[in-house]
Parts: sequence; C-alpha cells; structure tokens
Amino acid sequence: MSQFLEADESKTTADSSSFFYLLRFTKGLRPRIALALLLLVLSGTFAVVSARLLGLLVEEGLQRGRRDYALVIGGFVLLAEALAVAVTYYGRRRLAEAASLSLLQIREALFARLDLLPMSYFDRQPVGRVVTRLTYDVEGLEDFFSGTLARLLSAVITFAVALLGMMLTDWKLGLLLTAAILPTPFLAVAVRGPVRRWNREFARRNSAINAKLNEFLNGLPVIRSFGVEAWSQREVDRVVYHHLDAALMANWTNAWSRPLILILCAMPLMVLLAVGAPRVLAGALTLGVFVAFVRYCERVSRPVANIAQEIHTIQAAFTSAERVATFLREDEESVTLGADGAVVARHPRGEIEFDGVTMGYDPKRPVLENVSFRIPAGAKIGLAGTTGSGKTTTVALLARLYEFQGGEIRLDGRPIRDFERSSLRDSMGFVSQDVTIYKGTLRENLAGGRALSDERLLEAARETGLTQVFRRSGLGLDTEILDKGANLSLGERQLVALTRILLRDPSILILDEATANIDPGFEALISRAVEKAMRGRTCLIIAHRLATLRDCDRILVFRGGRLIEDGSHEELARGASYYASLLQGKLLDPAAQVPV
Amino acid sequence: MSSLRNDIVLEGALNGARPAKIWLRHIRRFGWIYAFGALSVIGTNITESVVPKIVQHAIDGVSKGDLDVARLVAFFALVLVVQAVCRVLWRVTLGRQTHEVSAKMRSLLWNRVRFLPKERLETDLSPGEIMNVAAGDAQTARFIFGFTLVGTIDFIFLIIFNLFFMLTIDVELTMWALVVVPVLPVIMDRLARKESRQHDEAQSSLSNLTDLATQAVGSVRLQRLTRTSAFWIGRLTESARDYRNKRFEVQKTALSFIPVTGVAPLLSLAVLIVLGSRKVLAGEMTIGAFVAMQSYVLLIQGPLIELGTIISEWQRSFTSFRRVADLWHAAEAPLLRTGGEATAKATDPVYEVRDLRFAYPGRERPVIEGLSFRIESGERVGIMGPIGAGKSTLLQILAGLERGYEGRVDLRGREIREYAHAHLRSVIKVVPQKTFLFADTIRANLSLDREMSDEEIWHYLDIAGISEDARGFPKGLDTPLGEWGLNLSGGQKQRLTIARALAAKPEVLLLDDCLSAVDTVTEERILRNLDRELKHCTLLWVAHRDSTLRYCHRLIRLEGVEATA
Repeated sequence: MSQFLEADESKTTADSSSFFYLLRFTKGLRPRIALALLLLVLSGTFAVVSARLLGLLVEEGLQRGRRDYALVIGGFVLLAEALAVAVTYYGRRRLAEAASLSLLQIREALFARLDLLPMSYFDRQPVGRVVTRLTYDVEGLEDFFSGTLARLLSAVITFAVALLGMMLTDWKLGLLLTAAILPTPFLAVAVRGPVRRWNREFARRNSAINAKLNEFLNGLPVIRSFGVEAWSQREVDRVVYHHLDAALMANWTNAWSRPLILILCAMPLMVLLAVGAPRVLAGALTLGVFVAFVRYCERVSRPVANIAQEIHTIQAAFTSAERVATFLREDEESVTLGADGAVVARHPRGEIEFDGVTMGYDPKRPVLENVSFRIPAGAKIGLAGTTGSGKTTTVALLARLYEFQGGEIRLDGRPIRDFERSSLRDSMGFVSQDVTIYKGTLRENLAGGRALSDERLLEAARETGLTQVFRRSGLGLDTEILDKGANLSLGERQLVALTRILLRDPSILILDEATANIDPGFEALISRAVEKAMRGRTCLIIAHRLATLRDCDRILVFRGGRLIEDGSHEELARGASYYASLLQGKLLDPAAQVPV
Repeated sequence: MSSLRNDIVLEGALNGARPAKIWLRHIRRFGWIYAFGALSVIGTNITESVVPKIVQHAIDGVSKGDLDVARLVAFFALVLVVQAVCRVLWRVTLGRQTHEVSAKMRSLLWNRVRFLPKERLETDLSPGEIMNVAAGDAQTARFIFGFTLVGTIDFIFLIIFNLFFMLTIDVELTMWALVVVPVLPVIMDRLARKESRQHDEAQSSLSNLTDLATQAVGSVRLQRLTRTSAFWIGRLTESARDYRNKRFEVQKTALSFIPVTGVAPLLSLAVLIVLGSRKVLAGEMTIGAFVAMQSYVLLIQGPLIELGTIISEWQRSFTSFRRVADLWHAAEAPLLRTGGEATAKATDPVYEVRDLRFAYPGRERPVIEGLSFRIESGERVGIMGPIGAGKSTLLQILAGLERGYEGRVDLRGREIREYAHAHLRSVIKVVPQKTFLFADTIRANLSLDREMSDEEIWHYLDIAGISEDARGFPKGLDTPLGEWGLNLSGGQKQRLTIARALAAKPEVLLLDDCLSAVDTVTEERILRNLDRELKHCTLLWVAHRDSTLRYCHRLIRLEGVEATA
C-alpha cells in the first residue's frame, strides 16, 4: 500500500505559500488570534521581569540585610509569576479556540469539494487518497495548530524577551550567553534529518502493518481456502519486523540526539559559571545580576530544547498544508466542464438526442465514437452491450458528469451544455443496485433533506408498495434506519429508492442493473414499483440480463464504444444480430466482426 | 540491527498465562537488560539533582569571594557527560525493549487470529474488533515493557534525590515549601483521567468522521446521479463539528494543566521568599541555598506532575495488554488444527455424499436436508436452486471448510473430516461469490506462497479471460491492485479470482456464482476455456443462466427446505 502512496505523494518540500493560502480560513477569527499573540508576548515579559526582580531581591534585600525591601520585591516576584501563568493560560486557550474553529472551516471547505470537483478527478484518485486529504492531512494541521504552534510561539517569545532582558542588564554577558545558546538550535536542525526520516518511517511502516492486518482479516476466508496461513504469517512478520527496524532506528536516533541537545541546553549555565562567576569575584558584576542570569538560563534553555523536538511536527504540518491547499485549489467542474449553463431545466419533457457524440476519458482513447440516437419523450429504452461497451458512459454524459469532445447532446432540442448542471441532474432519477441509505428515520431517508409532508411520503410509499412491506415488518416513518440500511433487506432498500424517485418526480429515469439480484420474495412487488416509477418518464434501462429489456420500446446495442443496433426486442432477437448473439450467450469470439 | 528479535518470546502468550505472569516472565528473562536500564535511569536522576547544588555552590562562592571556578566548571562538565551517557543507555535498553515487545505482540496476534473460528470472526471478534486490539491496544500495551518503567523509576528516584538535597539545605524550609505539593498529584491525576476520557470520546468521534468520509468519497458518482451530495456534506459537516467540539474539550482540559502546575510553585515560592529571606537575614542560610531551594521546588514538582500520567499509563497499558492477551488466548478453530493425516488417493468417486443435513448454529430449520449424490472425477456438475437453498453452504462443505454437518461426505473414499486442513487445501479450490483480492500486484495475487514464471501466470490469466485486460494495465503483471492501486471492475475482479484458483492447480474446483458481474459472452468463453484446459479436474459450479449449463454433465438441484409453518 505505502509504496503506491509514495509514488506521487512523497513530495516533502514544504512550500510556505500553501500555508499562507490556508490562513484565509482564519477569517472572522483574526482579532482573537491577535489578542492571543499579544497575551503570549506579555507572558514572556512577565517571566523575564520576575527573574530580574529576583536578582534585585537577592542583591538589594538579602545581601544588604533589608528585610522589608526583600518582602516587597518578593511580592512583586510573585505577582509577575502569577500574571505570567494567568496570561499564558488565557492566551493559549484563545489560540486553541481560534485554531480549532479555523480547522473546522478548512474541513467544511474540503467537504464542499466533493460536490465541486469534476467526476474525472475522483476517477483518477484512489478513494484512500481523497479520504486522507479529508481526514489525516487535516489532523496533521490540527496537531500543529492546537499544540505545537502555541508552544512554539511561547518558546520564541520567551527566548526573545529573555535575550532582551539579558542585553539590557549586561550586554556583554548577554551576548556571550546568547552565543552559548545558539549551538542548540543548530544541532536540532542538524539532527532533524535522521530524526524526521525515522519518525516518518516509523509512522509509515506502522500504517503498513495495520493495512496488512486489515487486508488479511478481510481476506481470511481466501487465506483459509487456499491453505496459505503460514504464508500469511510470513507476510505479517515481514511488515512487523520492517516496522521494528524503523522503530529501533528511531529509538537509536533519539538515544544519541536528545541527550546531546540536553547537554547543549546546559551550555549557557556553564558559560555563566565560567565567565560570570570570575567577574562577580572581581567585582565587575553584581550578585543580583548573576542570580538573575541564572534564572534567565533556566528560562531560555528549555524552550529552545522543546522547539528542537517539535521541528518534525512543523515540517509535517507544512506537508499537510500543501496537500490540503492543493486539494482546495484543484480545478472545479466549472473549469473542466466549462461555465455552467443558464437554462434551468424545470420538468423537461425528456426528449433526448445524441448527435455524433464522441467521448474519451483520455481523448486519445475514445470510449464513445460518433454515437447518434433520438429518444422521444416518455419512451422506454434499453441499453445493451458487454462491459465497457459505452452504456454507462452514455448515461454519465447525459447527467453531465463528464465533458464530451465531439458532437452534441440535446435535451428537449436544446444543447445540454446550455442547462444549469444542478437542475439538469435534478430532472434525472437514478436507481442502481447500490441504494444510498442514511442513518436516520425512514422519513428523513425518503425526503432526502426536503420538507415534505407525511401525507406525500405515505402516498408515494403506498404507490410503490413500501407501505405494504412496512405493515408486514412493522416499520413506519419514524423507524430508525441503521447506517447503510443494515436493518433493511435488499428488497426493502430498493423500494425506498423507488419511492424516492416518485417523490422527486424526475423527467428522465435511469435504471442501472436495478433489478439484478432481487430476492424472490420481492420480485413481483419490485417490478410493480419499477413500472409505477417508469410511468410518464423517459427511461433508460441498463441490464446484463437481457431478458429484463424485453418490454422496452427500443433497445440500443453498444459495442466497443459504437452504437451498432437499434430496434425493438422482437426485431433484434430475430435476425442474425449482435443482440441475438448476446441474448444466447453464443458469441464465442469477441473479435468476430458483426455486420452493422 | 534486530539481533534480539528471536530472543523475544513472550513466554506463555499463547498458552493462556495471565497477563501479569507473561509480563513478569519477560522482565525476569531479560533481567540484566532491565537492571542495567534501571541503573541508567537512576544515574540520570542523580546528575539532574546535582545541578542546583552546583549553582548554590557558585553563588555562595562568589558572595564569599572564595570560588575555584575551574574545578566547579570541570565538575559540572563531568556531571553533564555522565548524564548524557546514562540517557543514551536507558534508551538503548528499556526503549529498545518497548519496540521489540511491540513487534512480537503483533506477530503473535496474527499467529492466533489466522486460526480463529469463523463463528467468532463473525460475532465478537469482528475484523474491526481485532484491528482495535492490533493497532490500538498492542501499541498501548508495549509501554509497560519499557517506557512506563522508565517513567516510574524516574519518578521515584528524582523525588528521593531532590528531597535528599533539599533536606540537606534546610529541613524546616523543605517541609513548608512542600506542604502544597502532595495535593498536586491528586489534582493532576483527576485532570489526566478527565483528559483521557475526553480523548477517547474525541477519537471515537474522529473515527466516525473517517468512516463517513470513506463512504462519502466512495459514493461520489452515485451522489451526483442521485443528487444526494448536499446530504452527505451536511452529515460530514455535522460530524466534523462534533469532533471539533470534543477535541476542543480535550484541549481545554490539557490547558488547565497550566494554572495547576503554575500556581503550586507560586505557593512554594511565597513560602520560600517569606521564610527563606528571614533565614538568610538571620544568617541561618546562605544566599546560594536560597536560590538552589527554588530550583529544587521546581524540580521536584516535575515528577509529581507526571505521577498522574504514570499511574494512568500503567492502568491503560495493562488494560490494553489484557485485551491483547485475551485475543492470544482465544480458542482456535478445530478444523484448522485437527483432522487426520490422511492423503487422498486418486480413486473414484471424488465425492460421495449420503443423507447430508446442515443447519446454521442456533437455527432449527436446516438449509440442506436429505441430500445424497456421487461425483466421479473429471465430471462437470452444475448446482442450481433459488436464493437461500444452501448452494454456497454445500460448496463450503464439499471444500472441507464447513464441518458442522450431519450425514456423510466422503472425499475419495474417506470421510472429509479425516483429512488434514493443509492437504484438503492443496486438492480443492473454491472461488467464492464475494471476490477478494490482496492489495498487491497481479503477480503476487496469483502466486501467493509459490514461485511462478511469467508464462505460467499469463497462461492462467488467459484461461480466466482476463489476459487481454491485464495487457492493458500500466505495469502488466506488476500492476498494483486495490485501494492505492488500480481499481478493477467487478467482472475483472471475478476473473482474476478465478485465475488465482486455477494457478493453484486444483484437482477439484468449486465455483460459487463467481461470474455474476461478467457479461454473457465472456462468461461463455471462460467456461469453455475451463472445460478445455481442466480435463482431469472435477468441476462443480453454481449456475444461474441456462446458457452456462451446456458444459454440465449433470445438475444437482437444491430446492431449499420448506418452512414448517
């Protein structure tokens, strides 16, 4: 799995423009973010002030034996510390809130893409990759925004303020201590490579284990029926130990890099002891400043070490940002299919015409070539042909899922590109073997988000025979339907789909293998419901079992992207037609030429 | 790198030993590694606790005017080096153990899961449940074999050493400064529990969101055709909001650690300033000690803050380890391990079935009853019957994969239950109704555990009528399939599934309605190929269309068992 993921996703150069692009999702939250940042600056300042005050307390209070002075300054130290804590808490909370709301806005924008991106985009992308964009990549941003960012800002701000404090107190010593801190971030950057590499490998190989286990679990019947249990163990062990190698490498990289960074963190204190102490002894530096500097050193070292350890999160966030931004900037349907038409299709009559239509998902390899036919409004048309002959594409073009390269498609005599796409799709109904059933009441499932009265729902249900089934199995409009319709039988699901069609009242109805695999108990009921649903509409029926097409007015027979026969079942079944050979399953050599 | 991997055995894992016992045995077995690791942690603790003492010495030295700077700096350097070495050492001992045990745990999990009985995989040990254990629990459980131990030793010894140094400075001040400290672990523990509970809720909300996203992305085409995308987007948004709210609750709790861990040192600091400055002014305490004391108060709070985390880590890891162990101890399917040693001789009849009866466990009404037939080798037999008449079940019984039947099923003259699983598998292949291909290359899917040449593979692809399609795939035989690779149509998957069964050179091939998504022309061609190429193979298939019956010598009709209502 992972090697395919790697193939074109391994791009690691994080480009900051994506990051700024995503900042537009902070709209409406910017005052909150500004306040949060201000608070974090304040907290750093308070911390530094408290360190300086402590130096004062030691020098002016304790060393000189002034108890009252010491207590007053001590009070201020406490106050500064308390304010630092309060302000940090409040600022980080504001920041976390703003970040989580921005991420929600990013997510919502990503979801909207599901309806905006062209179908051809989804055909090119494996499902897993798009799901990753919607979930995992946003997680990457989430980790960064909700935790790392605030810690990073705190660290940088504390560091900056502490530096400033040191410079103001004694710039020479301050400069020296700064120089002593610098190696830490440098080392952190230097070890970033291997640390990141092995951490990423660790995560990647870990998901490879999960993918393998998940796959083998689902494929356990196959493993069992082939008797390859031992092989499956070898395969699992292979990914497990591959992961262990990465885990041990990551462990080893951490084992030497973290202690090294921690040693460097102690360098400022070391320098202070080596350089500052002799200066105090020589009387060039007061004891108070020395104590204050001890505190600075403690305050500065930790944040720097922390930044060092969070560098990979930052890197990951940039990568996620880039992927998310790319997904958000992908061409929409309005680009790939051209501007939306202006004509609203409101209850068209349903007269369809294909006039020399040519289409290829890859323009070099057309899947439909010069296809022409006319369907009068209200006709029942069957589409026949082997897999990949062009039936499904024909239907998809009618719904404007894809652009076609040649010819013209007309609905009620008007070029299909003139229509507003959403209204065009609204005027079509589609029933297939897969029925989308949502978790929710049956009412919600039938209404599909529209406000429809119970009377209308029940009337439609009565017409399709759904009511009859309800009565038998004790269902009602308020019955909770489980996800994917798990508590409904296939037949019941199909009836729900057909009832929905009646409620939506489309002008064109497409049945794609809708009646294959129906359990026998439902056959009569469903075929009656299908008949009801077809009444008064232009119907396109796709079926492999050609017997279902017997009652169609006409049958269009496709082969290799061309329309080769067009006629009624009786006409076509009689002669030496391709349809007749399909019907009898006689056509043994698919390469054999059939006269058109 | 992984020289230890074979040493990790987790003794007792598969023989039902109690989790605590498995853990103890492991610690004892690698006692020297654990002892060495523990010493390294303690070494780290001592060197950490010494630092404020060095600062104290420096401040007192400079204020008194007699400090040997060179000696102090050299000592500090030595402390830092020892500390770094100790840190490296515990990671390469205890850290490493954590990872090694993790690998072993997951390997052992599969070692058990692959033998689990079908009934349990369909009920309480569903794939989702097993994945939870393998991906979640095993990862959590590993910590008690390393990192949690580090945290625990760290906690104990940091407290001991810090307390020791503080007491050497001033007993009274130590007592006062630490008055508030015992409250800390209690509050932290409560916060940690709250956070972990909220975290679990957020995670389950997240996995709902992921599930939903998978469904939504997978059905984009259908959504567009049925105009249901607004509904899906609405559901996704709702789910994302729910996740955002839950996640923010976690963050709020996590952030409330800031005031808690911030206020406690403030109280100690107040005590230090008031009492400490009095003592310094009274000459009972040096300024250096006054500063060092503050560092110690901060230092000792570190582990106390971690206490809650450590306790909950023990609890969580052990709970997870118990779940891992439960799965290790789950009973295996008898059919996979028992069964005689018999090997089938090439004698006729291939099958002799007498008075077969089968009912699903817990159901009274049988699916198959009073069925008897005989099949000679090389015969082609069609099985027909309405949905629910037991066609698939019959094939599972004939394959030796379903053994809960009554009556007699003889394979080549011996009851099928007397054969070993492995042997039956080499003789009989079933192509199921539901296709399943591994997310791997076409080559890997066909060859599985054997070596196969390209010609061989193409030969079987040819028979199964998929070679033409395969030649068009971007990387030929090495084209990856599945979620991250090429998406095949239902018919292509079915044909590859057939090719995979053929590649295993079966003596008996059972086809369970495995061409339903293939058009009639192709189906016809495949059946003709099978008939021609598998001369000596006995073929049984579930047939739907009359056209496919032309290659049958005989038909078995299953009428289904009438309800006795």
